[in-house]
Amino acid sequence: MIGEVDLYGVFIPSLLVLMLIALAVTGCLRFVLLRLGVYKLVWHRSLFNFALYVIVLGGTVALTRGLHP
Amino acid sequence: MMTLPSWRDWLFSAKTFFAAILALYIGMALGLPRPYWAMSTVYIVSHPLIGATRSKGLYRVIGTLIGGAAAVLFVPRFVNEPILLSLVISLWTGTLLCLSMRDRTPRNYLFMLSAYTLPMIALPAVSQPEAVFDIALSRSEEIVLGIVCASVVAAIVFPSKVAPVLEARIGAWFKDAGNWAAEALSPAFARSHPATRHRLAADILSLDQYISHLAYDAANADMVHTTRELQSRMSMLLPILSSLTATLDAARKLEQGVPAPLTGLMEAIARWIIASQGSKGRDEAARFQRQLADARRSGPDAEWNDLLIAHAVARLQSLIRLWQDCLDLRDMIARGEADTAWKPAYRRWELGGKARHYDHGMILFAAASASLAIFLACLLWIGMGWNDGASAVILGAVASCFFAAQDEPAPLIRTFFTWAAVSIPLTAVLLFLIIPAAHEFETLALMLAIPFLAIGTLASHPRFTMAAMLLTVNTASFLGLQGAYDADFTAFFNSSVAGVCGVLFALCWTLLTRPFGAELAMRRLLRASWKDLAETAAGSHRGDYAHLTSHMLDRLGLLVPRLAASDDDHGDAGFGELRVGFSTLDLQRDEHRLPETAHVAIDRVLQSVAGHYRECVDHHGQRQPPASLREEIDRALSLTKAELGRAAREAQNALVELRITLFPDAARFVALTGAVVAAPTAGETP
Repeated sequence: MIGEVDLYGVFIPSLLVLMLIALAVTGCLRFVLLRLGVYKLVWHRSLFNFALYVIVLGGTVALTRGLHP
Repeated sequence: MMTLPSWRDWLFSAKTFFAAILALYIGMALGLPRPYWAMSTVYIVSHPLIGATRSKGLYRVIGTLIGGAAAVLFVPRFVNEPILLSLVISLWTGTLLCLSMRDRTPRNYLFMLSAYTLPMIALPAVSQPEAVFDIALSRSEEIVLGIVCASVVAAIVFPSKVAPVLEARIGAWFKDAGNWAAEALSPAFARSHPATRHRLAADILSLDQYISHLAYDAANADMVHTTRELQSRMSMLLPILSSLTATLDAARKLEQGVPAPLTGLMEAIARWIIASQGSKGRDEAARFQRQLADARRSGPDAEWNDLLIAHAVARLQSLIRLWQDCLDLRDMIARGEADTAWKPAYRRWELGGKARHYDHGMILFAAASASLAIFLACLLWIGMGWNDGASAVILGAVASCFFAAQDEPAPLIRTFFTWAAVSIPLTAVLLFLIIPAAHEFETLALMLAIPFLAIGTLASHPRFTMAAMLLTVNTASFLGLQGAYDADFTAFFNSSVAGVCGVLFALCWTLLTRPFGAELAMRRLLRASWKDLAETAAGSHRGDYAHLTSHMLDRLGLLVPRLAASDDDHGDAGFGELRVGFSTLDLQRDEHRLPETAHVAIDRVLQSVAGHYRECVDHHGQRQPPASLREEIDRALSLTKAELGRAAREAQNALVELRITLFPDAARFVALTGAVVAAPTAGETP
């Protein structure tokens, strides 16, 4: 988890990269959920989004764990 | 008068404090060099409305990144030439300040932040130019951290949305506008204070801010379009109401007065407007329209009285359509769903143009003044060689940028100075008496809670918002909380006194360079509107109606709060120009559908109107319109009232409007006979 990604000589913490990926994934998910009308059932939209983001981020980290020995 | 903070204020204060402490904690845990910047950022961006917090946060992040990039670019290149570096910094600040004033939406914060982030990062780095990248990076990180904390906490813990506040404001506006309308229609309704009229225009302008925030309010982003539509209709009500008031006043002065059936009808309309029942009132509105159409008498033998009544009726019809549209839109906003099939009833002018008035001369002058202040402060700092002088220049730059867009920045900078000075003893007490007793982060948080929670409750009161923000932000920055407690009285005293001195310098400089108050801005606005009117009447903007109408309405919104604030009575200033502007557009739009003689006569009227306003511009003051203009109007009116059809009716109304606006005290209009009408225009085509 503490590894860094080398981007043309600039070292970026891999967590930052994962966070950006998770943000993009959450964005897509939100769009789909909005289209499906799921948000009409949600009481606290911001809290829902935030929780969704944390779950996606957790999932991303768990999935990529294998890549960082 | 001061009321005790409500539970809402306490909630907001607690939320902000929680976000600030969260930012401070994360900043310390990550080992950022200046975690207090994250803390003060939370206090800067926090706003009781979540949309406002988010939009301000986003603009702040982008602005900081731009300013930081500029610092990394400039400092290593110019660090050996301090004067050149000062010049570069002041030029950068001035240029971005110009851009920021050129944008009247909340987005201007982006440019303003880029403007003063450069001195903020560059000046502390001059003694160690190799560290400028690190300073810029850590400042960006701290600010992003603060903003993330502020927006996450604001969004998740009991969010307060923009929409209800916006609805409350729109509701209040409807009440004011309804009262004015009712009063104009029927003297039976109590007279509203003239100041409410001025407030109406200013309130429409302030809606702009809320609408921009609305786009950042996750649940209401889709209402932005509807709200804009409502805003443009609300601003169109102003010229119509103003014209209606003047016309009815003129009609009541004549011996025939207003016919009794129309008086009764107007009373019914006034009641309908005050009730504001939305879709339930639709049938009634349709009935009013039919009755109004019957009340109109026109034709070749119409007298001045009949012309006035016909004009008033046309305005009433527009008023009813507009009011119905406003009610529909208000209901849509309240329901929270936009109706895509909705069609407005009022279609005379295309509304919702985005043109805004900018006084480029004033903007350039204000930016140049701020830029020069920064340059001089830098020179003073270099000349004195004061180690901690950097914070003087920084706070001076912040103070002069922050208020540059105001007509009269000096009083606001004075407030800034006062509260920055007050925060020094407060910080000293915290830093040297209280915090040394804290050994854990938890105790530190508890100790900070007492002052910060108390001050934070003030932030929701408009009067104290700035004081509360300045106090919390300055205290947080002067505290300079870092990983380890290393308070050093000399360093603290040096930097905080330097900061206050910088603000004092900005204050003196502003008093020197910008002593003129709102008066100057107001005169320039009036002159700009005359110039615009002269050009419009001369036909140089022909065809671009949406642009012109939104430009005129925007200028009224800018002018009116300044008129209200100035001591001398300007009466109808601003509204009169607006009415003349709309009549000009009406005439230009319809004249080509009229017979040749009427067309020529109207052209002559427009040329005279243009000439009159050119005269006003040249003489820097309101002039009495020439009597020849009235004769032109009378001639054109005699010709058009003989015609039938929609175009003639609109032109006739516009001419009546011009006559009562420009010559309110002139004798009644008497139709000219055929020979007199034809004679002067024969054989010449302007």
